[in-house]
Amino acid sequence: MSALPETRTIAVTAEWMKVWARILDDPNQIHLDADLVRRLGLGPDVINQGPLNISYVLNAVTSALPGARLTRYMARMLGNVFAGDDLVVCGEITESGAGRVTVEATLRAEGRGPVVSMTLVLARHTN
Amino acid sequence: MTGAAPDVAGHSLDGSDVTITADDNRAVCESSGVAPADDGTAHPIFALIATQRGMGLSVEELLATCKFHVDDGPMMAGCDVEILTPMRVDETYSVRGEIVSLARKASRKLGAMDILTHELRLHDAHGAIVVRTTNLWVLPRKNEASA
Repeated sequence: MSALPETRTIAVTAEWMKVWARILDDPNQIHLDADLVRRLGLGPDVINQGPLNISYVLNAVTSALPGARLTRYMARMLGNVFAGDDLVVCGEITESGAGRVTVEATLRAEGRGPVVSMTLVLARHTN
Repeated sequence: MTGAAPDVAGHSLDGSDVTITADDNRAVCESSGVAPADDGTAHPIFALIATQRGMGLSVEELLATCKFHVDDGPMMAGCDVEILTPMRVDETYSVRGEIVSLARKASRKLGAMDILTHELRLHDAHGAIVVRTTNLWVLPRKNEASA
């Protein structure tokens, strides 16, 4: 097993959540209304969309394995990500061979711990 | 309502055509911290985005089918995404799918909740499956009894 380089993601902002709400066609106000999030007792600020959290991990892993083609990813959401969070992606190659690489990766919110756990499978040419 | 989740398994989510536009791909890449691919392929997160946008119901309608209101705090719990062929920018796909199950569970943290599992597929112009996603959402049922 070998660790992938740790990747610090860009800071989480409420502005991008508005863009993703439109792109996802998702009217859920927890991504747009910080007062609602606080009223519901879900946290201090608007909550990042799950697919946006997943995209940080996809970027970190595919950047660390150039030339490999992503064929499958599985994600488990472990906690919410809020505007203002700083996130880090950690990954480890758990299987490599026969043109296939498997990576276990975690997205962590600094000060709170893991928020997304993922398994990714990539195909790569073997010469 | 009793402790049983609504019976919605098998409900069709067949939908319409969806196109991954260059503008949306650029915004997704920029917001997540990478440059768009220069070979015309779309960001792999569009497996989730395109299927959700193109399914036969809006998110609000899908939740309403499960007798759940969008303002009551639905949460994505997980997904399993297979990418059989890389998606391409400016390509049009059709979306098909269905609700697999809606099951009531008890959670120490959330109380009663329903786990919604639905499968969505992107098809190319020839009908071939490009992407298959299985999505899990948690629908908290604060005022319901667990099964």
